[in-house]
Amino acid sequence: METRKGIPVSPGIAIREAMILDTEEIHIPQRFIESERVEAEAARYEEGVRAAEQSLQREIERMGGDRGINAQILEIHKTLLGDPVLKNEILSLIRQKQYTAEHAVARTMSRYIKKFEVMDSPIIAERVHDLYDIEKLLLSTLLGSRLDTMQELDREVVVIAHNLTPAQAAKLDSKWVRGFAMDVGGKTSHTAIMARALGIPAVVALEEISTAVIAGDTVIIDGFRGLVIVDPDDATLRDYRAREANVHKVARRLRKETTLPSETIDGHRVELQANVELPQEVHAAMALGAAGIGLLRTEFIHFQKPRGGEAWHLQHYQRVLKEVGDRPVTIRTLDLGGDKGLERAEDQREENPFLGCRSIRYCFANPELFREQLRAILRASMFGRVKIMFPMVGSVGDVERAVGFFEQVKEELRQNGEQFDTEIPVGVMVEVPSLAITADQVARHVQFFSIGTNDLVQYTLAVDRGNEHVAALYDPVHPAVLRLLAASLAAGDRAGIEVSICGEMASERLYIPLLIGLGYRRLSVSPPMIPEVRRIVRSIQVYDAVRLAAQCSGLADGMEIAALLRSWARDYLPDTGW
Amino acid sequence: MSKELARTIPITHKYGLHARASTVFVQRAQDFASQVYMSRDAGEEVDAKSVLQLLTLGVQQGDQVTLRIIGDDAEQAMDVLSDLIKRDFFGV
Repeated sequence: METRKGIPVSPGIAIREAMILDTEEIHIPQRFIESERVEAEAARYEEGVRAAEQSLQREIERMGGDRGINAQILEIHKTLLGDPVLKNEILSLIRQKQYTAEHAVARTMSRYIKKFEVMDSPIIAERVHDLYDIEKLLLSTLLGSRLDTMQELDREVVVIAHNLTPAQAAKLDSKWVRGFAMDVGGKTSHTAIMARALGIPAVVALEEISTAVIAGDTVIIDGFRGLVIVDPDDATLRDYRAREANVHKVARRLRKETTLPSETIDGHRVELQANVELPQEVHAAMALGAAGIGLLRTEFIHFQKPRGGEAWHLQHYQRVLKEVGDRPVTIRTLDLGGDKGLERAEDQREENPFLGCRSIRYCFANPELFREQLRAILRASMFGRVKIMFPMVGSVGDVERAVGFFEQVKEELRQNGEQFDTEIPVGVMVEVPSLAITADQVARHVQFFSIGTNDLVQYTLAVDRGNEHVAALYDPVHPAVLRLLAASLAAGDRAGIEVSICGEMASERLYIPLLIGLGYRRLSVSPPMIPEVRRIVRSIQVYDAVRLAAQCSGLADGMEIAALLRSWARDYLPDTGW
Repeated sequence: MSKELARTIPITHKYGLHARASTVFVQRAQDFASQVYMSRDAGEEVDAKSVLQLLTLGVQQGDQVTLRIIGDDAEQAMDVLSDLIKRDFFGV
């Protein structure tokens, strides 16, 4: 038995057989061999290299006398495959560490890939793609008919990997996956988003879990405490089986309530929508009774490799709209930069990315990128109820500029005789304090506001909550934040436009009564939070909540406000078991 | 008779020792029985019969590379390989 500690990013308990995902799309079924099979395995590897070289040679010959760039690349691949140093390294892993040929290839290639990725010569760093190509070729040759991909799962497993790429996440057959454990990652990684969407436990930042676990091992993933236990002993297993059963009991109870209306005791409706990114999350959200998609993130489309483009955007939106049916979907345009890594060349790195060329500013600076997404959104509008939302705008000028792009793309489509919904509602994220302060002026130019509390809080308080030295200063109920929340809503109401909240604040047990008390009636939260938020909404009287909000607004200290909210929650809110 | 030779040569190719140049170099190096090593700006030495190893040197235009060749045909190998570098790998 071996216990490892990481960061818990999605709650729950899972006890299942491990499935290990080594490289993108290729799953290596077995990683170690018996000592007496070592020589046979070495021979199998050499045979695999020969077969792969032959297949490249055939391709080169098919090109005839063409000595163009494609033939040259294949020639390079062939030379790399037969590289004597590479071969020796792989063979020694097979002979000395009893790795299977596939495992030895994956390990060795990933070492070189990492080396290449940090090269200061961009021309050589680019060649990392060739390494991925030959790795894939070698692995698929070696695995032959045993090529085992994620879609072919036939039993429940926990997925163990170095990292889950967006492409892998999109391909996962989620019905068999019961938990995730990753070497790297954080709270906003794809693994985390995906796991929370599926309502299954996940632990990340385990450093070397993907090498510590062997396929087929029994693994416990404790998404509450951030533990992963490999090959547990009987007592531990018994203990965790009991806990797993209890978690399921609570989840079942909450799920039973998905058909109950989301309204307060005194009959005020509070619309619950979902924040999603991946198509799988949409399904989960609808099953939990979401009234629509309040925030569709689109960044992952941008990071698809090869890079997405308009067709990818459109395909993704159509998939989401089909799943959602006649409920609304608010598509947020690309929100790149800040914490959503933009790959930048050395000389273009920013001192202060959160205050830099991110999000809508990045789109303005890359108009083609922006236009291709706007075109896709317009085309998608024929397939459902689409709304469009611009992030990070800071002034009426920004809004007009974004709308200008949108109108221009509409005109293009019109001239091409293409159809789209001419009445698409246009809204903005209220997440920059300057916009919240001038909300009354901005409200005349848009059809809705969505308050992004995560950034609004960090920009208002000048606190990066990812920075451990100041994270304690990150206070969503700082009086300044409450004033901005109240003012934005009031401005929206006066202008007769919809105002909703899509930040994490909307799914926090403590803050929901306050938000309702301030007058908010539309919340957008991550799908697995919907049952709990609904339960909280259903236990609130608006009358009490309004008094609570008034009391909070009279306090000058965030700590006092938080204390008041805690005591209110103790007295009025049910224990939801989370 | 086994010999050991070393020579330092500047890289003039616009893209440095890129993938195609490395491939051409390795293919020529493999014609010789001698062991061939390369280092960049007096740094770590790698096996110059391996494209992968050569690429990890990250050699760019303007760098100095040192060839070290050990074996019976070291002289001939040094002539051919240093010529190849000076002629920008024949324009690949």
